[in-house]
Amino acid sequence: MISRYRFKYEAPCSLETAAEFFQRRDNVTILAGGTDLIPLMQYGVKKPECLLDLENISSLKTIEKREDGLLIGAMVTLFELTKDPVILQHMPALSYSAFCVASPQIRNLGTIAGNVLQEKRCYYYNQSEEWRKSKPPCIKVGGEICYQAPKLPECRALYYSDLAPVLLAYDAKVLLYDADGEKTVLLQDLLNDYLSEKGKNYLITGILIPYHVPGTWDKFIKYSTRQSIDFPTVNVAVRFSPVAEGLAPIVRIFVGALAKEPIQLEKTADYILSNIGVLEEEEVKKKVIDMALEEVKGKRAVVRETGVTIKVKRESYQVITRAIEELLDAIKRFEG
Amino acid sequence: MEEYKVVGKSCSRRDALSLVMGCAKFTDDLNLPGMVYGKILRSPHAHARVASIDKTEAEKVDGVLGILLPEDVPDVLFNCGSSPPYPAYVKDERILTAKPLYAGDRIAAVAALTPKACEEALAKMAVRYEVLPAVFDVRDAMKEDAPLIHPELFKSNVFKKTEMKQGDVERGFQESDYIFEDEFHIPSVQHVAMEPVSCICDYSREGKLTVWANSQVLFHDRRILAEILNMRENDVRIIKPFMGGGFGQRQQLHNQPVGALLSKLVGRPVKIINTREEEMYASCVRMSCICRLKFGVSQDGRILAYHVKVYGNSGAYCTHTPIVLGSMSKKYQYHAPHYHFEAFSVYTNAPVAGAMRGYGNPQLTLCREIMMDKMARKLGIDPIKFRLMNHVEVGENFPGVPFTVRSCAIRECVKRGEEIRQEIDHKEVFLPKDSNTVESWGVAFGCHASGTTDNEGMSSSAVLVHDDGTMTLLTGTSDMGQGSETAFSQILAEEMGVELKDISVTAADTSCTPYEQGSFASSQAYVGGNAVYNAAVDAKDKICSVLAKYYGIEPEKISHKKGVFTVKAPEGDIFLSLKECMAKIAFGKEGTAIIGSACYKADRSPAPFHVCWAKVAVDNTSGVITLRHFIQVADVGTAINPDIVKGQLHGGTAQGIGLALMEQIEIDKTANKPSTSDLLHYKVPTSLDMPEIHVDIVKNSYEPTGPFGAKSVGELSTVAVAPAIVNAVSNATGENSNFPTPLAKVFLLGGNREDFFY
Repeated sequence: MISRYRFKYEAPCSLETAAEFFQRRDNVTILAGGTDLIPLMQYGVKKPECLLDLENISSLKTIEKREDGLLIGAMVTLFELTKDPVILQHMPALSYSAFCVASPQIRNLGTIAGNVLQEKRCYYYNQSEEWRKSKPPCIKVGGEICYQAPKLPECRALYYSDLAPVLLAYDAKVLLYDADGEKTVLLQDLLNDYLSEKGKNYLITGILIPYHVPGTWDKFIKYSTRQSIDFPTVNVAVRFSPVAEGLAPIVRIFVGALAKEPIQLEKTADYILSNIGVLEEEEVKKKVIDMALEEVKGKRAVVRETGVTIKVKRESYQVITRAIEELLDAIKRFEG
Repeated sequence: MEEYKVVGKSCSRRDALSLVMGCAKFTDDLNLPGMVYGKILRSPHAHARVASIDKTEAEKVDGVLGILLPEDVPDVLFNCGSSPPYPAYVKDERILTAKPLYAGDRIAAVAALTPKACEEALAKMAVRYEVLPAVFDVRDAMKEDAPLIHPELFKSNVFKKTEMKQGDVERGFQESDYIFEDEFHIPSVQHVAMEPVSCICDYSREGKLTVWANSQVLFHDRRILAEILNMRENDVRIIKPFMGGGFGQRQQLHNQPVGALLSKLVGRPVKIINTREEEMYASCVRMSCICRLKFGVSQDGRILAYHVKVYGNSGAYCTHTPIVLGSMSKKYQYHAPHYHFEAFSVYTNAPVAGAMRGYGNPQLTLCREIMMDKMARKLGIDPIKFRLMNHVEVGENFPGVPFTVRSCAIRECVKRGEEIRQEIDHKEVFLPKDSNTVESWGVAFGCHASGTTDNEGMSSSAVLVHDDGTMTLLTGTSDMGQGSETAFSQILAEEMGVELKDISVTAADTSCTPYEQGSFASSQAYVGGNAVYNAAVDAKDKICSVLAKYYGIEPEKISHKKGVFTVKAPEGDIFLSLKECMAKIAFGKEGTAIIGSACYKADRSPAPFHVCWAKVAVDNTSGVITLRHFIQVADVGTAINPDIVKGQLHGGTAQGIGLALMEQIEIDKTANKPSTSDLLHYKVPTSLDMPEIHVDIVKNSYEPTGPFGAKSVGELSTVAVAPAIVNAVSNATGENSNFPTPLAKVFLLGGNREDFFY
């Protein structure tokens, strides 16, 4: 039983039909795999009036080498991301982050766009309706309180996507339809809106990843209670692209699962770039790590989660040290 | 040792093929003519009074056939714990209650044509609750101003004290050179059986009730059901279909009383299947407890005195708690001339504590084995040596236990495990270059029982020998996946000298299988196995006496060995197979039927033993711990079926890893009830979360009182798993402190996902 409620269900075969349907109505919820949405419907957290299933649109399931980058169709599954030879070779962190999502069953169904546009989570509302009956509803399910921080007027739920930090580190763009029509936006801009209180509704058609310059290095690390299924306790994605064809070198560091959006360590990245020649110095290395830890600490929000104590969550950001160290090593290797 | 033909062989399980082919019928697969569905309205609050219930709107839902409210059911108090009728089992529970005492307590129930109609109806029940203050921790429940959970029965939430004394523990401490004391808090975990609690109740025929349920203890279920429904026991029939796990959770009644009354109300069979959420907090859990341990030890490392104080969190009802606590005291495998065990059963509004694999033993062993390591470290003695020098040997008694140990191969377990450990280390000589990672081993010893330790163990069985020499074994036992039907078949085949395929089994139906105390306390191989063995002997005796008549000689002149009956007839020895015997016996003027039957009343409960090793890696900069290897070597006496035993060792290891690393029922202070309501919130490790597991069974152990030398394995397999892991982490971090369990409370858990991927 998917839901106790009746809802409309559409599964068009062409993108044109889907886009037209999406734009014509204002109550459409996109079904792109469903591993996030269906459990939310079963728990009565989401009660969509109309589901638009993209499953039958084959054009959304391809990975295409375009001039301006690799275009990954919205409905490409996480499993396919772990197996695609181009992605494995040129964007190993993306492959691995897809492999890190949940369980094999979920990776077989879950899609890249679905993962990016997953709902934020909190154990006060990711519960059945029966369970939630003992308390007035929280902000997320139509109430006025956040049980994580009753004094704050906003939902403190966390965003747990494993793919988003990597895609952000790649400066990915998103091809989508919104109420105004078809457009391409930076993933960062899309998430800024989507993860805000009054985020808009989108129909993503693909994720466009600009080609990395030669010598680019990336890494994704995830920690979770179980290796078999859990959302991250913390994850981190890093990328280094060296100077090329007149382009400046790039360092990107994103930390996930610690706030309502992935945390970007801009200050640390800038510091690394401005000290690129002296990174082997112990003092500089230590400064980079300290700076990164400080930067995360300042931007994260510690909330209660099941299976992870506040104590462990509070200290968990320290695992980014490993990713930063590997990043510095990679830069050294290239520069050396 | 005698060479056996069937016993000791890893024959594939009787049910293997039907399971892998998907044709095994579990309770939910059964559909009776006219059957409808039932669902229970459960309290969303941990402590409340129902101010009012209005079922008007619920009754209007299409398909609803009937609704039961607390006033519609017999107002009897009972204890759902399906054990022999122990006086310690307080009757404090109602079929439906207007004063729920935990989140999940049963308030009302509906029967409807579809599960969906049941859900809709429950959503439309208008219930007003007056929420009462709730306590979840035993320390809070014991405070003077704590809300009383059962004020009509007890004036305190501490409702039972269990005690055992040997020697004078205070004198023992005075005589000791070192005193070690510690306090441990062990949280609740859930069984997480694959198949949820399920039943179909058919009370549509006046005066007769039939229940299909995944129960471990049919006969006690029947007794309690008959009592609370005011029926005769022979009017209640319980049948156990295929069963997907038990782990102690099904050593009690769950939804059967409600199902029976719903069926009576609507005149149709009613099926009730728990949701996973009901399983997680509205069925039962393993008791959480606070344990205070105090050891007095001499300078040369001998334990002189041991004092244990346990506060057991019973949750809202008594069920098994006092006996779980009592059982803890009888699993102490070391010497202690002075031993004092005290335990207190405490009511709270936490999920109800029931039976779970180990029945109290894993909790106390976890505490004790952590302390054994600490004491060894402090005394400068190797932890294994320290344990062995204090260990009870053959011919001695466990402190506080009346019977003597007659088999114990703990030293062989150590020897074999150390070999495996060295092989592993030999293969993994190198550590990652950054020395921030430290790898360490930890060890722990454990033991358990083979059947209850209070002489309640009893089983009976019957063997119907057919005219072609094949036979049917009738046994009341519940095979819930542990393979008891296969093991019994092997015992019977061995004793009768026939092939396994000559045996069929009819089990677990109270109308046609003989009384059995139930599949709990790891009793099947030993208690049930002895009953099967005795029934086989009885069948053979009967065959011999009929043959004697046939040949007109004295029964003593007929003997049986390895499937051959030797008749010392006047004209010379005649050798007959069982088939040939039965061909002579079954038909003709003197034709007769052979029914061997016997019961076995246990007067002891031999302890199986095991030793566990865990290898962990600790990253001291990030505080990430990773479990790499786990070794478990067990002394189970004769392994009737080694592969089944090894399967149990694997399963017990997995459950122990959960206890050590990540599993716990969490109570959220804001919601005032458990937040671990599903298998995403509740972290039960899956196959992908396992380290490399290495198990073995020592070969040279033989329990003289067991069938073919067998003891038990089911619960043993999980007993000392968790402390081995905690001890390994202590060794790796060099910290002599008490890490709380699960270790995920203080460490980030590392894993193997990168290993799988790259």
